[in-house]
Amino acid sequence: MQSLSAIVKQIVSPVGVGQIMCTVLVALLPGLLAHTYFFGPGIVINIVLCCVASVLIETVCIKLRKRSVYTALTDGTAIVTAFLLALTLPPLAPWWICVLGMLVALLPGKHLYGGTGHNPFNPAMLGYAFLLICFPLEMTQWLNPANIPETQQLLPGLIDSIRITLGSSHLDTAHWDAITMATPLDKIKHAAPENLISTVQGSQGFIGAYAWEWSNLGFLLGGLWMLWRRVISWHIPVSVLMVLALCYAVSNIPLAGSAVQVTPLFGLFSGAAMLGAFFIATDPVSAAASRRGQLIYGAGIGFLIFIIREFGGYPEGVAFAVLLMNLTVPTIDHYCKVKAKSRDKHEPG
Amino acid sequence: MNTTRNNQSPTDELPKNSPKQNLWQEGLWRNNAGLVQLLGLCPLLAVSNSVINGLGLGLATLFTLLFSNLIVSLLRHRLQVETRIIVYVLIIASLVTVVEMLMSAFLHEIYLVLGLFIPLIVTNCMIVGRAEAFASRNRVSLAVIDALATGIGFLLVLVVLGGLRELIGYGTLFRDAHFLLGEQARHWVIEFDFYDHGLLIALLPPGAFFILGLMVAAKNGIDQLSNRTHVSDRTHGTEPANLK
Amino acid sequence: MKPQHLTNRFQGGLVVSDPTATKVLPVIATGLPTTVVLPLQTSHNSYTPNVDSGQAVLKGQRLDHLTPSGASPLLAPTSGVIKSIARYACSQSPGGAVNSIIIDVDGEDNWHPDAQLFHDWHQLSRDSQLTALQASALIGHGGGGFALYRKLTSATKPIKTLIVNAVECEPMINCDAALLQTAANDIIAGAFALASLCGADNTVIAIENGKQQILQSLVESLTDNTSNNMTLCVVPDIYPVGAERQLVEVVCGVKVVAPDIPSRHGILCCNAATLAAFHSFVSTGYPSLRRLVTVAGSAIQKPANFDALIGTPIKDLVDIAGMHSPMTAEHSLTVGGSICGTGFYDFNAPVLANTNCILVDKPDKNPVTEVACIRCARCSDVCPAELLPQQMHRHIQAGKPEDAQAFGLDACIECGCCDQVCPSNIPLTASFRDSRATLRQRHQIEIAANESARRYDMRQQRLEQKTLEKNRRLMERKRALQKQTASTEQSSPQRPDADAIKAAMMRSRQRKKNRPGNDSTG
Repeated sequence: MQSLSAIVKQIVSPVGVGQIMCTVLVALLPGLLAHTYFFGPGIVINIVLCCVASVLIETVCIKLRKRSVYTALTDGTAIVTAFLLALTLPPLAPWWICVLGMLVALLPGKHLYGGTGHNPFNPAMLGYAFLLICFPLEMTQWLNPANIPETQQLLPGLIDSIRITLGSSHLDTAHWDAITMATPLDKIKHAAPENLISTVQGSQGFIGAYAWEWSNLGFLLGGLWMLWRRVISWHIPVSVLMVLALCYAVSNIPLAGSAVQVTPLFGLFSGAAMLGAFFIATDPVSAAASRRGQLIYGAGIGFLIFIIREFGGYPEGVAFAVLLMNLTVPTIDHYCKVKAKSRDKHEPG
Repeated sequence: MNTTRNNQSPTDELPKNSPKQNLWQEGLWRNNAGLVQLLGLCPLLAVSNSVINGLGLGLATLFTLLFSNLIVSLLRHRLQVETRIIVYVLIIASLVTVVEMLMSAFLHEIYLVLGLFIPLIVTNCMIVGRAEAFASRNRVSLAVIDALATGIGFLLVLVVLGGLRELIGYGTLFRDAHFLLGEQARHWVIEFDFYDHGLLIALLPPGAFFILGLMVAAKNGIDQLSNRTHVSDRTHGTEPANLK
Repeated sequence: MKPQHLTNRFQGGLVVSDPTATKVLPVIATGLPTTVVLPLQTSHNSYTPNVDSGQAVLKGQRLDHLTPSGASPLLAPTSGVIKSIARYACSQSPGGAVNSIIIDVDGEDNWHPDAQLFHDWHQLSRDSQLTALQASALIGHGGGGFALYRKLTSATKPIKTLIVNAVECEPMINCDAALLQTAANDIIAGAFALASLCGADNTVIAIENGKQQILQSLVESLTDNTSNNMTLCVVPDIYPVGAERQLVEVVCGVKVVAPDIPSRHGILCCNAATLAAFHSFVSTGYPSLRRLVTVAGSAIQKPANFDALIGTPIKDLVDIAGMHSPMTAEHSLTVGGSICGTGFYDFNAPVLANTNCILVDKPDKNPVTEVACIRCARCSDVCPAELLPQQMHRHIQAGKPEDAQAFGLDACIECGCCDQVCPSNIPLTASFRDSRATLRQRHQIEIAANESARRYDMRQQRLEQKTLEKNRRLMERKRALQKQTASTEQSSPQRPDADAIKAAMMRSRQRKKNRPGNDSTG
């Protein structure tokens, strides 16, 4: 019997929860590389900090809940949460932001609900939302992408980044202002109507927002790889991206009143759209179960991302969109009980 | 939390207590409106972001509750079953109007802070609940004690919750005390130098939910702990009081 | 005869690469066992024994009381003496043991005089053919254990197509392959006989892709028995294509979802081994009481197909096949195939008519640990019944199997695909099986409660009727009496008994006065 399971499982790869999570981590790499190229090593420090915090918190929680620490750590869910949270945090965020975010993500986000597989919300997004609400200033200070024509400032190196993150080297305000700036979505959100077109054009890269398009492309690549590896199904990412693009397309019709001037492509390749669609919304635990339900769930996320980006108080809405749709999952699941029906090809009806 | 915890010791000898003592225990700890019945959550969570706000709203609620219980108990023989709820609401609404006008006149700053939540006391289920469940069936002295016990229990929860939220959110205690307690209280504010940033979420409604949840958990934890010692003290063990 | 390659698919399923698929294990005939065990409760039947311990029985003798529902009877597989009727291990019961008849085999193997049901099948009318079939207790050999007679009579439409299920897609099971190789002619003859019994116009023999050897022997046999209305189909080798509803979907394009059954769509699907048994019954008139069982697994020395008597303890077969090392409690026993077989622990359990495979495996060196479900939905991707196993699992974990029913728990075919792909190693099929057993039990209790409530109501009604009847009779008598009195009064104004009453009253007064205790009151 044992040998047989091995045979079957070779066909359906990867095998266990741990391997699935490893695949997710590998799929994050291209986006992470692009991120590091444009925003410096700060993001790597974030990841290291989040991972360390996550392992420690997870161990303590599992010990308190008297479960097997080995099983809990090897399933890799905590590490994936750490990676996703770290990727959404601005580089050079203070160390305690990472730790606090992981604390919220794992304690109320996961273990209070009963651990892996029982959390109704995406833990990483819960941590992110908490941080964004508590520390709006720290959470919106993104670095200038490297080599942007406006500033010739070079990004701080690894050692400098570590010192800034740990708070041992305070940058003076002028220097800080020089290396940070609002994200393109933020700029567009706060641009005066008469400057809107120039703002959008100013942050335009090849297909999306300058620099951000590359990390988005990286995440798209990783997402496609996960699709190929059958770690995720196409339903959620496709419906998220389609609906998001559709919303942008509709809002660009002059008749619709608000001429947003952001093309669908720009919308898809800026902010955390790809990361959200392929890595965050597809978290199976907090997503809808049936394929039909997943389409509804993804469409809701896409729509909410657009609504929050355009009309909300925050420049990016992936986290809140995902959390809001997480709330609707029980309802979606209730109404999407797939039940097959007998059908006779020869005698219709 | 200290004040509430002190009231927990007498719970052990419930059967021997007089009904009045019982009322105090029920209102302050065992059946606390905020922590056990979870009534009146709307004001509890919305405005309790500092000690003084909590105190202000708690006092306003206490005042309303006290007089509504008193009046309902006085009128209890004249109430008709069909119209009693309307009468309660009329009484409470009149009292709340009085409170609102008094606060607007004498405590204007806190009146501005609490804003809509003072008129909303009318809809606090706790007050109607006490009127219906207790004052309309008991004599005046008991009704007054019940109102005091329940109101003070609620007030304490509001103050503790406000204190915790203020501490976490602003890093201070008793800020803006002069709103409520006069000019000499302006300097009562205690500032703690924990960190540069307060946790903003504590001041927002979600934080209130989290902290109230933790307080309920703490209350249940204390009860469990005292039950355990209680049971181990008397091995033949009568049923613990608060599991009645 | 050219086989027809079908490419139709059904939803879900697994592609399983089975290294043993092409190898056909040898068939070994077994003698009579020393003991035979017949469970009185199987998945579709429950029997009330009409014999007692100590009684001698003959081969083919009926051992149970007639049940009105037309269930198939319980026949003694060989002659012997009933040792006892007691609880005994049974692989088909969730609790692991049911009341069973245990027979000490005498080795004579004498047929009961009534065991031969007919001499010439073709001379029987259709009705008597069906009655004979019912009396033969022929149960589907495929795994479901459904009586062939019931299958035939449950059809609401005339049967048009007979599908011979020669698909053995589950790894390790080999008995049908062996049968196809050794007795293809019997199967074909059985198929002809059954087709003429049920009136099917065309017969399809289905076999899965990749079994060249067997395909060859089938093609040869079919060329010998030339027939226009018999076709040979090769279906894609996707587990569980051998399951009845999935095979029907692939072969006929008709999707049948539980609780619907194929025979309501004019399709009868029959296992090849059942047809071989049917053929042996039709040609001799004696019920078929043996079957082929595969004994294999990592702990078995010489895996083989055993031609075993129904009721033979599993242990006997395992002993013949031999084990690499002495049997220990750690050896795992699986009854059924390697994917959907049920793990069992008692080697004393008997081989039943639908036991196709026995797997004995070495102790698992690194057993997998079950972790929490992450709702990855792989189970619903492979589910051939198009269910959402992860949702059903969630409800079952919450202790609400009835909620899982709303997600189609009853339509689960227990194929085990979900277990195979689950990254969290959750034994989903086992939990579904258990929940269904729980629900069935609950349902039975409910039925019993309803029945007793109905009986109580009936009794109340009867009592009421009785009282009414009594009252009515009383009234009648009263009226008759009054009439009589009236008539006598008319004749004589003084009632005849009035004097008597007066006299009696006087007497009693007299008695009271004379009583000694009476003085004290005065």
